[in-house]
Amino acid sequence: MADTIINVSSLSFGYAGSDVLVLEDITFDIKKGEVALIIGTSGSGKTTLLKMLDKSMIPEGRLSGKAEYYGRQISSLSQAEASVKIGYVGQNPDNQIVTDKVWHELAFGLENLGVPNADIRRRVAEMSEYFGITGWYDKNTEELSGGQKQLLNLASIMVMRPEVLLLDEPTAQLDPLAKKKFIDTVLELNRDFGITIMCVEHNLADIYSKADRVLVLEDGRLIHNDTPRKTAESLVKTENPLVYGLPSSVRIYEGCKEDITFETDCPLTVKEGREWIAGLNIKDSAYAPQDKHYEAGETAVSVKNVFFRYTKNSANVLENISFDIEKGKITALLGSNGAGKTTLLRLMSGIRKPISGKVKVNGRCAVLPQNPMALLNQISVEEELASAVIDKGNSSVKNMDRQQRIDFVENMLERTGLLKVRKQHPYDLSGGQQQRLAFAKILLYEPDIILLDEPTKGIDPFFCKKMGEWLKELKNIGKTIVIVSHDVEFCAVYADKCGLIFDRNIESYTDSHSFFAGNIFFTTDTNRIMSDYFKDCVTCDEAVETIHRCLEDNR
Amino acid sequence: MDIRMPVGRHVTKYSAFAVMHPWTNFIYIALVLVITMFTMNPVILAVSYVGSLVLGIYMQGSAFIKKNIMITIPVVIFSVLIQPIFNHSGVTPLFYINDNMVCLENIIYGAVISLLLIAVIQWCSVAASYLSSEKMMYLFGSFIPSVGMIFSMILRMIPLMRKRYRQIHEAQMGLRGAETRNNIFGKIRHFANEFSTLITWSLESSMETSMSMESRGYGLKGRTSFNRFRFTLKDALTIIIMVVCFAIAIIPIAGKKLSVYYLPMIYFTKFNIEGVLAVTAFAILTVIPMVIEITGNVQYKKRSSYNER
Repeated sequence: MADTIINVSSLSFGYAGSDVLVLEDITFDIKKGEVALIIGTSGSGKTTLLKMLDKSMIPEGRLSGKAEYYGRQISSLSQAEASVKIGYVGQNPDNQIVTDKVWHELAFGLENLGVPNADIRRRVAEMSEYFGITGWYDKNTEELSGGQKQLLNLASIMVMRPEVLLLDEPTAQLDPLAKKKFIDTVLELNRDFGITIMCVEHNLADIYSKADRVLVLEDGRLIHNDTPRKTAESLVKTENPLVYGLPSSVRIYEGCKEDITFETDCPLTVKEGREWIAGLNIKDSAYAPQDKHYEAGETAVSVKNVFFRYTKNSANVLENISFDIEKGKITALLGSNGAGKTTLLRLMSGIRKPISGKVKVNGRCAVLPQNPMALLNQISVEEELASAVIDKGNSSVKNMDRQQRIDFVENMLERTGLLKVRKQHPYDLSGGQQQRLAFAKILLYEPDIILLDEPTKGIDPFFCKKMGEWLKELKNIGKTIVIVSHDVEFCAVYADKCGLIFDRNIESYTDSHSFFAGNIFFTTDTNRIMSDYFKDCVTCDEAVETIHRCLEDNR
Repeated sequence: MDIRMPVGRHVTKYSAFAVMHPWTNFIYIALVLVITMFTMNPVILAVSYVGSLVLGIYMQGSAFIKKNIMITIPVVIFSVLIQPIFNHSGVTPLFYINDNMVCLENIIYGAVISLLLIAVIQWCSVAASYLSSEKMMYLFGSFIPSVGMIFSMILRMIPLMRKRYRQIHEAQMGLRGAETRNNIFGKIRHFANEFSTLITWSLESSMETSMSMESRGYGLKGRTSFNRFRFTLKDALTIIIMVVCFAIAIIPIAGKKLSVYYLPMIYFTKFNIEGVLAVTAFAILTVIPMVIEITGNVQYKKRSSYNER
């Protein structure tokens, strides 16, 4: 028992003022030095479970059962011990930073513990060397990028020398590169110092195979607690919808399960996926899925020879960029941080004007901002939507009378599935619901062209799927949709046309299928897994279908 | 250690006094200000004025004169030219305006007052170039620890709120299109709307910040406050010299041995050995940073040219 660091037994919890139990009878042990991954849909109690393990985060409510740290109830630890031994990094990088300077932020925890100046100096120095912070040690915290901020948050916890790290979707707000860097750092901490890690995460591609153990929560109950491979296999066997959130190789494996008898282990990584495909002995590798016809449509937005820079003396963000966005299609603009994707969005919506060149927009535009908080300012969901139909700037309701406007809102509430929460404060909604509310608000302005800035940021894969289907629905009623995103997987599935913003211009602007199939590095995991045998598989569904047909042909 | 002044503001060159401990900087400015403000002796004030001018020009170059001339001119106009027109408590009439006499004593009094005011303003401007925000925060923090912390949190909040406001503003523009804001009431309403969004958002996120603070042990007893400064022997010696000079200067001033009265008649207390000592001590006090700067600079130049060989 000595090496059991966290022991949770028959833990149940319900928030104050609510009859529903968020956690029900949860029992598990975590050994020292383990990496435990907690997965589940939103609302399954993942975050609440993590909060139960950090003394200062335990919310008000009815609690029964035990949550122990080295055999002592966590709620009875002294505050000093709890804050040193158990560290917590949350989702939003901005909100956890307390002070204005990087060096002060690193020292903050140690100041609180009353560590003398000379010791703080030493510990901060070694920590910033380890994390590679030294280069920006002197900077203001607000000048950092999101990834740097999150690394700083991690470092300023690590400087207190914790034994357990609790991570609540730490990479949700980061771009793919920063995501990878953060996860690598966390795993390195585990490897080098034996720090126990409990992590709630939606983006499983990088971390899933490296965890020692996966805890699966469903409606507040712990339904699996096993190694990643066994968990994946049993989720596949029980046809649990959570498989949708697992890495691509697992999903392809799951999709093919009717065709193959499973003697091989479930592949978890891209590498294992490739080996698994090779092991299937598919002979007819020349098979290609039928060509998807792509028809060019009318132009909704045309960008012509546009130059843009933010201030007179800054560098050009966009240079001589020209392309058309087609009407009634979903167009995705990909690219790394600072490539100018969001800038392009601002130009299309008229928030900014190009310094030379033309942006012509046929129809009304509306932008869904990256952060739905920026749009929400009323005290309830229904008032939020009502404010949109009484807005004088909203030309779509100009000719409606009172009753029509009310019906319009009611209709929207129903369509977006927000009826149940109509009386709630927008800030009490989950991230996905907030996104949906902001979306609903925008739709009340009846735009012809909807511009979305990173719509999948900080959202779980299940809501991403819903969002994607929703976009398709909107497309079918003739709306033009433009997505700006880092999310390769999402764009591969839902976009009709993709372009890569690079070096102040747009590269390889074609239909999304040939876009991803033509790329070798900047592409989906599925394409990476399949590329040895099939050049043309971009999404999991395509991969499953291809394998299925090939195996049938072989028979 | 790196306590360079922010580039573009006052000092960009090497300064041997600025890299000393904040307490040394602060005590110096405080002592000089105390003596300057508590005496009307024109000799002391002249020493103070010249000292601040030389140090200011040394630190900030011609920008110092440009900045201070804009304050000097109105102060002099007001106290030397305008003030004697309304105050006539002197005894030596120079001329009459509207049957009111304008006295020599009033003009001299005004000149001395303006000398005092300008010296104080220039010292403050010199102080601003020595005391960076990090040093100020440290000094505040040593009087009241929580103030330093709050200061730092506010400096964190301001850019964050500015960023959020920009996001909110753009979101609103993206919703309505950029053009529909013509009349002033509409503008005010939009701003109020955006501002209330900003407040709600910030309050909500500050809940998370406070949780992050608590989880890192904020509120425990015996909080220390970290700083990056080192107190050296040089600091200690400098402070001792400064305090000794201050004591020699302030004792006769407090004992009214150096008092000068301007109204109704000008009256000098006779200068004796104490007075001479006081003025000398004060002069030494004012040139201390100059001495440190110059010796430091000589060394700096010698060593840099050695390094660049």
